[in-house]
Amino acid sequence: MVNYLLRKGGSGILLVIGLIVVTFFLLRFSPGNPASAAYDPNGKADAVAKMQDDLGLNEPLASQFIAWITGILHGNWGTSYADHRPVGEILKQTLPNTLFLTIPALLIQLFFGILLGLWQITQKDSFVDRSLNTLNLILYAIPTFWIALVLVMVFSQKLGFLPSSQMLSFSYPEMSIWQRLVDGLSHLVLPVVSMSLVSVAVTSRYVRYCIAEVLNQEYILAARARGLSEKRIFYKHAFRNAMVPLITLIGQHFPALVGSSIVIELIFSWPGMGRLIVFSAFARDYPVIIACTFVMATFVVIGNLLADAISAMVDPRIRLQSS
Amino acid sequence: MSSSLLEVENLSVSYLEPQPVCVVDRVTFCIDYGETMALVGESGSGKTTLAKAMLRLFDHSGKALVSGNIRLEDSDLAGLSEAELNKIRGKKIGIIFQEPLLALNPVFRVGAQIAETIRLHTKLHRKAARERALNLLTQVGLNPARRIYRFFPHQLSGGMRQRVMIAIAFACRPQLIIADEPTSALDAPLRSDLMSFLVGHCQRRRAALLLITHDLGLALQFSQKIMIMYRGKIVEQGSTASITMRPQHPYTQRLLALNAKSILDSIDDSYRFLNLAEHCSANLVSQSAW
Repeated sequence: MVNYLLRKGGSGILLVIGLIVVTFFLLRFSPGNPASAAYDPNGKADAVAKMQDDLGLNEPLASQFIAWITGILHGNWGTSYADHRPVGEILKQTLPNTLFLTIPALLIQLFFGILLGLWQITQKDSFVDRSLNTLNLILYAIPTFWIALVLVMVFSQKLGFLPSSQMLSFSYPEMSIWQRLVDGLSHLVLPVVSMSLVSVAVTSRYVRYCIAEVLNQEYILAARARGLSEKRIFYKHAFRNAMVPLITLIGQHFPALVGSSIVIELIFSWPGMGRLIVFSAFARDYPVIIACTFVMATFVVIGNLLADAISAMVDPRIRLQSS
Repeated sequence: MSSSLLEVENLSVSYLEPQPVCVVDRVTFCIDYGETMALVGESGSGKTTLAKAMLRLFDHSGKALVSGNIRLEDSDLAGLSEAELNKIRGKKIGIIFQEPLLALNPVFRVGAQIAETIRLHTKLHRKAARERALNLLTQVGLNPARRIYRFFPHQLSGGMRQRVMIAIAFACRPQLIIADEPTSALDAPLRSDLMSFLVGHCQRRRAALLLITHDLGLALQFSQKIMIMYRGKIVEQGSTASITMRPQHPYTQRLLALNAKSILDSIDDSYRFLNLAEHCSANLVSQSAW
């Protein structure tokens, strides 16, 4: 088991390293450069040339790469081209904000997705089950940004219940602790709901399908023939077996959640890493883009590793394959 | 009240989907205490459906229509509630399935699955149930029991898994064991071993055995009474001797002809042998006509 995880973790580290190296070269080969992005196209050409020179972008690619990789190995991710601060400092500011958004979304996805899926299977083939299935499919097909925009239009602009942008109000510093809490939460509602609506639908659909599949297995029939109650069969025998594909799904869905955080942060002007990625891409801010790629890739690898570890804990057959 | 352990009367099962089709048609039979009864039929003849219907395992799917009476000792299974049924399933009737790898839950240790059944039907505590499960493992010949207890189903061989199934079936000392093709998933050399073991175990525990099989040779070798099922109907039933000596239904005659060798193996009485050889040749003739 430990071996299995070490091997998976090792390949994950290699993957992340490979990914940022590829990103480094992709950025260098892609059209545009930080200097021309920073200046007006009609502006002075010598200012652009000077900035290029200052950033070391006129040097041969190989020496740029060596300089960059030496920096990384020393823990130096470079300085942002756009706002001239160390990359580490920028990430330290934006990453917690993104986690503040994605972790609640993930928890809601798991909690309501599983709950709804379980409830749906108890109503299997009924009218409610069928309508929920259809609703799930519709939600599955709707892009996240559209949901976000509709939610903003209805709850923020028409009804005025909830704020539509930023993490906190401008008057936040003058508020009491209680007001601060309410303010923070009310800013969180719309982005989190728009992020998790689709993923709850995906999860519940999957839970329902997995458990229905497991309930058809012969060991469930055998458990019934032994006199086990439906409740016990459902929660002990079926749920545990259905958890394995479910965990794999969540492990795979986690990157999608990170991806949708980019769109959501843009729409809600959320000062997180997703928005940072978009702005740095516009500014051709190479060090920041690479660092963000690194962080996201690390999350994806950790998510998958966790999923593998939990699956192996739940299903002994996976452990067998690994040894 | 008669002395039979189990009486099944006019049991019919129809599957409703995709089209209504009658799979088990007005089956009537009874099994006495400690008796070994074989239900023989080709695949698709409704044997397994009959076994499931006896335990009323179709109630959940809503895809089958079951009618008829099933009486076990004093209780009428057809009239019991789900909770009452659960006190009989596994406790008074143990069942062994064809494919033990499918019938054991892959994510739980085999010992825990035995102990779970014990705790469900007795008031034993965790530790006592564990002791009894270890005991059962030893009795079914799985040694060292402590080691086997901690194995997952996929870590055992086919024969060992089936022995685990037997341990589960016997966990609460049932009076009736239903064995649905218990040896079909096993390699040929293991079959006879496991069958002798199963029958011997039933006899020691004084449990009746309903052996469901497509293999007439197996039935002849191990059971006292035989029912022949063909297309959902019991076409013939009687003692093993009477079935072999005086088969009435053409299907039975054909089956006997096909199994002539194993019948000869199982019966050593010279008089019977002569008589039987005569019968078999007659059956072979009638089979070609049939």
